[in-house]
Parts: sequence; structure tokens; C-alpha cells
Amino acid sequence: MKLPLKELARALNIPPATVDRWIRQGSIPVRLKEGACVFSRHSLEKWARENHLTLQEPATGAPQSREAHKDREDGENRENRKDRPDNLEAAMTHGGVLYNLEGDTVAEILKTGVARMPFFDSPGKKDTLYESLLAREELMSTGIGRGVAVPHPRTPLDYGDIPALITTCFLRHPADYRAVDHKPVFVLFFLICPSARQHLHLLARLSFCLRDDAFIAFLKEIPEPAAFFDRIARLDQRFDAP
Amino acid sequence: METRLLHIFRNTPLGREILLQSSYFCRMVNIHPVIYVPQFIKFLMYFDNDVVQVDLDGSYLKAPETAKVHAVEIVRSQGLPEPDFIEPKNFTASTLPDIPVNFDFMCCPRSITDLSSKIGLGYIGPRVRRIVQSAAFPVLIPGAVYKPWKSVAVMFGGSANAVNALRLGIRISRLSGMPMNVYTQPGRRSRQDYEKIIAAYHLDRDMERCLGKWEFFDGPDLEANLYHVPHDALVVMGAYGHGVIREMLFGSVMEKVQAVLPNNLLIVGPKYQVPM
Amino acid sequence: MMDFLACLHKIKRPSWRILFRFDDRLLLISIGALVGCCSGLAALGLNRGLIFMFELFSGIRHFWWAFLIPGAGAALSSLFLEKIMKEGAGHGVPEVLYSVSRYGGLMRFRSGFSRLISSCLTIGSGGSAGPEAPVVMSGAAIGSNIAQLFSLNDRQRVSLVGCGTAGALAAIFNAPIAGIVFTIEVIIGEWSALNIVPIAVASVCGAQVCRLLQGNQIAFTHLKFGIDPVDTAACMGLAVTTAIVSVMLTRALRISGRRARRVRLPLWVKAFAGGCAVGAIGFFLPDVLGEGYHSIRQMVEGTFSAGLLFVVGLVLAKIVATAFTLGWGGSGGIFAPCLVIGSFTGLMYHRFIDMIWPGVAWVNEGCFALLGMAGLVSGILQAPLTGIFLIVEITGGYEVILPLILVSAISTTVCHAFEPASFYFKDLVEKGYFLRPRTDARVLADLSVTELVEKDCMVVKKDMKLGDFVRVMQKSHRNFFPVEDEKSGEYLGLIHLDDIREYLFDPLLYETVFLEQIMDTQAPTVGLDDDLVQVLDRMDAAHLFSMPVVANNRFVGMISKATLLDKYRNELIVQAHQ
Repeated sequence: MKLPLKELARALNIPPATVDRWIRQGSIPVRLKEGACVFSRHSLEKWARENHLTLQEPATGAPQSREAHKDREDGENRENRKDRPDNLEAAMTHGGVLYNLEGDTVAEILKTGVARMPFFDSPGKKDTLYESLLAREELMSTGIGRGVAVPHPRTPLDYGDIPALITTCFLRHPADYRAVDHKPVFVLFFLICPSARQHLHLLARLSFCLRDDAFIAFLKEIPEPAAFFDRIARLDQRFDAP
Repeated sequence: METRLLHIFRNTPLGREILLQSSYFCRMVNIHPVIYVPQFIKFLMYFDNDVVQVDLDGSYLKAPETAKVHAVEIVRSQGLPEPDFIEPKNFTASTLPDIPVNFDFMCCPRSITDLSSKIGLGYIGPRVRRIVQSAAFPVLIPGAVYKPWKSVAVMFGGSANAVNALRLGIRISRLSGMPMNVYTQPGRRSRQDYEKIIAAYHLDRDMERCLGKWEFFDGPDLEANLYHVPHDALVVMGAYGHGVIREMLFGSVMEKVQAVLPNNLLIVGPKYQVPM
Repeated sequence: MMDFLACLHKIKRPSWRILFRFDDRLLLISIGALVGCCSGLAALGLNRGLIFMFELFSGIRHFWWAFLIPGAGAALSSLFLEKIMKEGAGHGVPEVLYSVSRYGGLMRFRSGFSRLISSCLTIGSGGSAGPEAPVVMSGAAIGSNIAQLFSLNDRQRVSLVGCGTAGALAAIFNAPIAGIVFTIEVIIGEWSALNIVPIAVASVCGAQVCRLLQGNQIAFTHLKFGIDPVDTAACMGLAVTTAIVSVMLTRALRISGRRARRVRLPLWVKAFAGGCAVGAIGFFLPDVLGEGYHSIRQMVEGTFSAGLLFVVGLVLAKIVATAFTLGWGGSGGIFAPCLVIGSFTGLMYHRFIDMIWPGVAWVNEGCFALLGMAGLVSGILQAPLTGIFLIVEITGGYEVILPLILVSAISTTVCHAFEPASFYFKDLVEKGYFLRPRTDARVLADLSVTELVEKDCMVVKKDMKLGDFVRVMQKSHRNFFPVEDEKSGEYLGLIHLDDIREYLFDPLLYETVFLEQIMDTQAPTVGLDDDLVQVLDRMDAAHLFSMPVVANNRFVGMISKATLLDKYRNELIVQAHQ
């Protein structure tokens, strides 16, 4: 086989300078011919195994290799996209908005909130979620002040088919949520994520938004879902902007 | 990464001219000069498959106390930043330092061994030839007196090494912004054949962008034709070892060209790969 | 002429090369055989030259001015090396070791014959030195140049350098096993089948060439020895004695070398003076002159009839003569003087115990002379196997093997206590050039900063505000941020998160602090050409785990111990698998 030095170095995941030196020293079964590496695939694979290195599928020929590389990059991007936490808008759209939530105590509010969530197919899941939310509240209230609470499970719950989501709930009347600033809470953001990483990511974005006085004022007006999502989308853009 | 040029400095008027040429080249092509001020009469260069011992002529060791100051002055006068100096770290024998070879260019006078007074435009010294043959970098062989060049002239004969020289010529022309002209002494091949070679190496588009003119010499006598090469051009050409016998019979084109042209020469050896 | 070879390997390679290419071992064995023959011929050439010179001068040795002959020889040899060959003096073995450890055995063509001629001049005229080291160097250079001719890689070239050495040594002593063992033990330093096979073949070729042209002679034949346990016991004392003499010789060589360096005279004048001194000693004690094999032969045969005191004098005189020859610029090796001094020492020891315990029926004095040689060779070279096999082969005396092993082992051990590095390795170890495969020094010498530098660092500008920097920081997964000048692109300093952690959470500072104010401009940096050993030392001294790599005032990347471990391990595994 014949490959440019750089391609071979990438296939072996070794700096090109090292591969070059190994060829010169004769440590690797590869020869240099007019700047390109000539080797037998079989013996190089054997050599790599013996030396605890891995030989990734080297691309053959220059033009093809560029395509292969591009493919790989595309694949990586797809990977990334899957792994990358959603932005607020996506999570909030998943979670939906609930209005006129009943309840006067923390437990009641959580109970009705979980009960009205549409995306759980079995009552068992709702129970575990409710218990976990309650456990978290007992640890310390998630009422973060200014009338807002962000209830979330004590540990991330992975239901498999349910993505990261935020359910926004406007209470019928502001209730005492034992918030840090002792103010009654009027809106809750149920934050339910399959992983701690996504949880942190969304929480950071959410808390950034909630620091904005204008946004709080906007929430107090109890906006319609369309206006609400629109506003969130604009806030997301501010985040994603470089 | 930084491109670097190795210069062996001698602290004499001739050495000054040569360093001026080097510095001008460095400035035009944006290279950082690295200077070795010899402390011993000889040094070794370990290439990939050859080791070359360079025995300098005595003038390289003249006035060591002012050498560095002078070298910095000369390089600075060309508007370049302060050059680096090599202090040899390894010694094969106590008076025989090893000079590293991981450079992108090297500047050698026509002969590095013989007394400079003996050589005018004679032959390229055997050491310099060997450096050209073994090194992974091209060698700049400057003329005896400092003269800024205004264009790049590539000697193109169609061989693989000439293609390398053409590539380097294109690169230098692009980096320096100087026009490039190509000169060919046509043998049995026609202009179309040469164009085919260039297309085969995917150089046709670069050629269009950089090429000023492509001159095919008419006469059969290369030496006479070289008169057409401008006096203020940097001549880029390939060198390929043909073996002793062929060289004795036919002579080397490189030797012919360098014996006629007093221009700055940039010689591309068989081991050089132009970075793209 | 010198460029002839250089030109030769530019000739277009014919297709027969492809035939060999397919099997690495076959290639090495066949070229190794060629190298062995060539170096064997070179060794024989020197041998013939020495005989010729010896005969040339034997007629005039008795004149009073004969002491000038070694002087003239040494001066000529020094002039030849210095002016014509433009090489340094010395015996050359360290040079071979240096090129093997650092440059994959690349050697100059001229080394292939320069030492042969110069040592022929020195030894032939009577200087006290041996022809082995020059032969080793020529053999090595021949091997290296043949490897260059075939444009082989470093590993193959080192094998061929070994082949050259083995062939040359096997030819000059007619001792093929000693050739193999010396090469592996001293020159190559690792036992691997890939190396041993071509070296063995080369050794056979070298010895065969020698036998074809000179007949199968054993250098020092002797009578049959009947060795009793009491003799073996007495060998312990001999071993200690040879060890002491070895240390004396090593020190004498070093002192005379140092003295000579302090004298400000042209090299050839110094060599002349040293040679004359040797000549003067040799005028009264002719046994110290030249390689001295004649006296060894007498001693081993048991026909050397000198008294104890005289022999002690001879040991000292030979040490002084050798020190004068080699220390003052003559050209030659240490091997033959070792053998001579060793046999004198053995004889001396025999005379001594014979005097103290006259009643015991000691084995023939030749046996002790032989054991003394082994003791001294092992002591000086600190290569016990070489000592054992060489003596067995050059004397054909396998029956002495038990005391031989004993003497070699003890002598090596005792010498090691006084002189941690052997005569050949001493200079290299001092300069840190002694790089045996798979050692820490070798791995670090092979890796370069360029191979280790990590380039995924985020570079920040010097007039960036802390607030902006915090945002950059969020996106990076590294703790280091190099700071550059906006205009010139020059590297200015480094920001390490640990250093600025306290400011990071103070939004008040975000708009008021510029990176320029908080960067560390004193952070130690690394250049691309720096030696990794020194880089690591610097890291350890400053308790750092990573350092910025800066070339020509520009930031290139970071080098860290974590990556180093990764690459170090790769390198070690690869070297171990060769």
C-alpha cells in the first residue's frame, strides 16, 4: 500500500515526526519512496498489534481519502449533535407549558405538576419522579428567589425514550415554596434530564435568563405559549452567539 | 511552523556579502536565519543516510570576538529580527561538533572548504555537492557580492527534480511576490511535452498564476543561452546525481549553469520535498 | 576519491535490490558477510603493514638514536590524522559507540582507512599500542558505508557496523567468537537474534579471510596445563592483582592525557615527544615496544626468563609507555597493551607466589600469564565475556576455562568499584552520550520536543479583558493559556488557571483587569531543539507538569508530562520490539 506520511501518521494516531523517525530507524515496517510511505497492510497491522498501537482504517489514495475524512467529520458532527445538550427552547418545547397549577404546599404543587405532565406512559414513572423531586426539595428548597422555583430530581432520571425537558408551570395563586428569599413562588420550571451534564447545561442557561429583570417581569404577565417560546428562543440566540 | 535557514558565518568582507544575500533571501521569503559561527575548523552534518564532514577554510575562524556582533548587525540591516545562533550540543570528537540538519534552507558559498581566494566561478566544491545530494533542504549558493534579486528564474528540464525546483520556484515567487520566469533548454521534447509533465504533477494552475514568461532557448549551446537569464534573478534549479561516469562524459547541468551564471542559485537536491 | 562512494550510491538502483528487500534477515546476512570479508581484509592489511614496518626497523633498533623512531612515527601518524584526514586523535572506539547510539551508526568514509594508516605508523615504529581499536573503527566505518551504499535504515546500519567490527576483530585475532562477543557486549549493547545472526556470519567471514591468507594459526600456542584446585584458588589473588593493575593503567592513561592537553604545542610535536619518551624506555626494555605479541608468546610458552623485580619493572614500564603513546597523541588501541601488561602481571604474580610458597607445585607460569591477560582485558573493558572468549581463542586453551572465568569475573567486579565506567565508555558517559537501546537516556534522546508538542491550546491576546477571557476559558479544556502580542504575534507569557483562580469569580475585575497584568512572564519555556533530559530537569526543578514551547519568540504549543509518558511508553515498546 502507498500512503502519504501524514495519512499514515493519522491512521496510527502518532505524530508525523515520530513516524518519520521510526521509518528512518527501521522500527516500523514501512519504507519511504518519494515522500510516500510504502508498506504491506498485513505486516503493518501485525506490527501495530505487537506494539500496542491501533491502525485505524487508513484511507487509500489522495482524493478518496479526503472524502473519507469528510465522512468521518460528518459522522463526528452527528455524534456531537446527539451528545450535545439541547438549548432551552428545545427542552421547553418538549416539556410544554402548564397553566393554573393547583396546590398550596410544596408536596401538593409537585404532585399536581407531575400528574399533569403528559409524557409518562406508566404511573410508576410518575411516582418515582415525584419521590425524587420531593427528596430534592427536602434537601433544600429549589425556590431560587424572585418567585421562581426550579424543581428537579435528586439524581438524573433516565427514562430512555424521554429527552431532556423543562416543563414550565404557572401557579393559580402564588404559594409559599420555602424559597430562599421567603417570597411566594408563582412559576416553576420542572427540569428533568437524562444526564447530569445536560442538567447542568440547562440549569446554567435557565439561571442566566432568570437573572434578567425584564424576563421576570415578562413571566409575571403569564405569557401565552407562543410568545413565551419566542422569547426563550431569543435568549438562546444570545447564548449561542460567539 | 517557522521556516529556518542555516548560515555558516565567516567574519570577513566576503562573509558579510554572503550573509547579506542570505538575509535578503530570508526577508523576501519570510524565513528566520539561524547562524553558526564556527569555533572549530571542521564540523559534521548527519543526514538521513549520509554523514558529511565539512572542513572549513581558515578564514571562517577569523576574528571570533566580533563575529556575533557583526552577524547581528548585518541581519538587522536587512530589517529582520535578531537571528538565532547555534551552539553545537553534540560532539563526535572533542573538536568535531555535530551541526543539526533540521532546517528548511541552507546557505553555502560555492565552496566551503577551499580558500575563497582560489575560487571565482569555478566548480561547486565537493562538500557542497554532497550536502545538496543528501540534505532534505535546498541549498542557497549566493554570488560573491550582495545583489538583491528582482525575479525568480527556474531552470526546467522536465525531470522529477526539475519539477521539484519548479514547485519551489512557484512557492518562492508567491511568498516574495516576485515574478517567476521559466527557462528551458529543449532537447528532443516539444513545449507540449513539457506542459504535459507539468499537468501530470498538477502544477498547471499554479503555473498560470505565477508565470511571467516561459522562454525556450533556441541555440543548442546552453552556456550561450544562459545570457538570456536576467542578471538580477534568483535562479532555482534541480540537481540530480548521475553517477561519476555519466558526469564525466556529459558533465553536469548544474555545474555548467553555475559556472556561467554569477547569480544567486537555489539548488534543489533529490531528497527535498516541497511543503505544499 | 572520498566522494567516489558518495557518487556510487546515487547510481540508479537495479532491480536485484527488490529481491533482497522482501526479507530483511536475508538482506542483512548477505550484506553482513560482505562487510565481514571487507573488514577482515582491512584488518589483515594492517597486520601485514605492521610486520613490514617491524622488519624495516628491526635492523636499526640498536643505534642510540633509535629512540627517535617511535617519536617520528607518532608525529607522522598525528600529522596524517590532523592534516590529511582531518580527524581527531584517539583510538576511535568511543566514536563508533557515539555514532551507533546517536546516529544509527552513520560514519564517515575516511574513518574506514585513516586509523589503519595512522596506527600502522605509530605501532610499527614502536609505539606501545594495539592494532585492534583502529581495526574496529575501520571495520565499523566499512560496515556503515556499505549500509549507506544500500541506503539501509538505522537499525540495519547498526547491525552492519557490528558486522564490520566483528569481522575485523575476528580477522586480526583469528578469533571469531571473541569478535561476536566483543561486538555484542561493547559495541551494540543488546542481545537480539536479529543482530547476532549477521554479526556471527560476518565474524565467520572475517576469520575465514584471515585463515585463507595467513593460515589457521593460533596466536599464542602453549604447553598443556594441568590445573589443580590450588591453582584455581590462587587465581583469586591474581584477579585482584590484575584489577589493581587495570585501574593503574586507566588512571595513567587519563593523567597523561590530561597533562598532554595542558601543554600548548602543536599536536604532532606532542606526539613526537611522547613517542620519544616511549623510545627511550624501549631502548632499555625493548619488550615494551610495539604491540608486544612476541613477549606474550614467550611468556605463554614459559620461556620468559626474568626475575620478579624485573617483571614488576616491566609492568610499570609498559603502563608508562602506553600512557605516553596514547595520551600524547599516538594512534592505536588499548587491547594489545592490555594483553602484554596482563601477561607480565600474571608472570609477576606467579614469581611472587612461587617465592612465598616454594613448596607448592604451581602450574606452569604460562598459565598465569594467560589468566593475567584475561584479567586485564576484562578489567579495562569491563567486558568479562570478551576477556574469557578472546583468551580461550587466541591461546587455544580451553582447559583453563574455570580459572579464566573466575579471574575475568572478579577482575571486572573489582575494577567496577574503582572505575564505574569502562575505558571505552568513560568519555561518553561523562558527556551523556552513552545511549544503550531501551534505556531511559536513549528513549529521551530519540524523542524530540517537536514530536511531543500539543497544539490544541487557545492563544489569547495581551489586551483582552478578564471578562472576555472567562468566556474563552469556558470553551477550552486546558489549564494553560499562552498570551501573544496582538501585532507582532510574539509570545509574551502564560496564564495558568491556578494562578488567577481567585480573580475569576469577582465580576468587578472583569472589566478592569487586562490579561497583560496577570500573565506570568517568567514562566520557563522550552525551545524546539531542546534536549528532553534538560526539559524534564527544568520541569522537576520548578515542579511543573507542563511548559510552553516557544520558538523564535512565537508560541508553538505545550509540552506536558502526561503526553510525554504516553509517547515515552510507545517509544519504549517499539524499541523493545525491534
